Amino acid sequence: MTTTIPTMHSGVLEEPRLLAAGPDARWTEHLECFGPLPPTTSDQQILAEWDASGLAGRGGGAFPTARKIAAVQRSAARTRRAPVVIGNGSEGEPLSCKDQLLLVHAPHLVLDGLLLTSRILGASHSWLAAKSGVHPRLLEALAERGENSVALHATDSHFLAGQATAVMSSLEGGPSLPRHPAGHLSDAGLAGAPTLLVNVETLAHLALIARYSAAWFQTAGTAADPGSRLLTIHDQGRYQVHEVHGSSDLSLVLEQLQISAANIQAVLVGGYHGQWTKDPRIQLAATNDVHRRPVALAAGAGVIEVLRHDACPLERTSQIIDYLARSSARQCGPCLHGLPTLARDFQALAQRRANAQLPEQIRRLGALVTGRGSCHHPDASARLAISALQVFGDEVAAHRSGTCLHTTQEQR
Amino acid sequence: MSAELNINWTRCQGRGLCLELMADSLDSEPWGYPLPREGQGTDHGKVRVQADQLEAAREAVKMCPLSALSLQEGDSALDGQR
Repeated sequence: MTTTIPTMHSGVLEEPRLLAAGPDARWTEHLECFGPLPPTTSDQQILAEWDASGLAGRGGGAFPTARKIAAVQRSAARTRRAPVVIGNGSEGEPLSCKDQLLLVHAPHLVLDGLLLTSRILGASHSWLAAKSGVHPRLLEALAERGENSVALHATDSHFLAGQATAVMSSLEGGPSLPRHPAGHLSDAGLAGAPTLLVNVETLAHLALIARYSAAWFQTAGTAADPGSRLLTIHDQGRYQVHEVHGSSDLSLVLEQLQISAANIQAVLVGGYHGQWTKDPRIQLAATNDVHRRPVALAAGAGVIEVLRHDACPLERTSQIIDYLARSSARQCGPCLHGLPTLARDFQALAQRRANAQLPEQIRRLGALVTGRGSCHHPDASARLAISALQVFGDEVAAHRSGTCLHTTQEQR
Repeated sequence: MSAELNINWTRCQGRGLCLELMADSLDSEPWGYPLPREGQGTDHGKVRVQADQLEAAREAVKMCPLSALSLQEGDSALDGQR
């Protein structure tokens, strides 16, 4: 049976953009599909198109990319130092698979974006940071186009390794752990140089906008959330990656993937640093906006996980918070001490070791760690815990009285 | 004139000198790390320093055994970050 796809800018893209050259696109297929890079004579025009496009970073932060680029340009002019450009494909979020997929299947589009930004900024160095597993394909791709101005960097696979300052530290030979932000990377990043660090999917979008214009980019998505984004969708232990319109309706995406609404208990939007929702009418957006209807929830690095009715949401949340607590960089006291306590309390709730104070204690702990670390790890971990308490209030009540509303695998 | 105290959390080990010097702005939490008192925290997890606390804050910056504190004085102190 075929579902009728409404002719609106929502859901899975009718024609893929980022993967338009097909799977495992080689240099020849890439050129055939997208053509060569625009000439240097159009660099000013490209900057204007990037600016007009409204593209926001696809690594999770959703910061306007053109503003980042402009800040690096200004800083380079002021300090008279050549900038550094870093493509970040580290993808620390365990549920996100899109960056790796993009680097394997469309490496040339990412390289196009990296080379274009480097060219326009007059960069002294161009880095591509990614897990070592994709390096063979990236080396092949660089050889295919005879490119030797891009250096690869192998990033660790732990949760915080993809955080901007962690990538910076690792590139400088230090540990791949977040640093205390001393200022903006655009002012002083890698070895003190003005630095542009952008997610690899963002680079691929920049490469497309440079060729096809901002107006073309905006034919996908909405005015507030233009363009498309890669989305990793987890359901029943499997995942798929699809390119969806900006601010797609969650219900439409799920329907197109033939995940029936009747089977869905809740959806985790935005990955381990995300939030839960039971409402399929939300939109998957660049940033949260709970004051408008439909509500917009941040897709983060472009991740959703479907929770079916057979799973206990508190048990799933407990697993994630436990992982997040173990993923702390162990540098900042409130995170180092607070997250394990949060994880322990949440586990007690998940395991129905009833204690009337637990939910309140979890809320207090969440508030206590928020804003008290050098990166956003404690804030986001606390937000996930609190979102579970809010969304699964009936389940919390059941657990407090020693029961569970859902059949779990571990029946006690 | 506003000032803001910035705690480098990767350095702070909760030795507590700042808690003594800035008792009006900082409280201790369960693990001994500084916690802005009610209404003294800013958006970015930093601590707002009132005029009568400025001298104490300067002292705390100097005294911190782990050099975890810095003070941003002037009108730019509370500007948006990024």
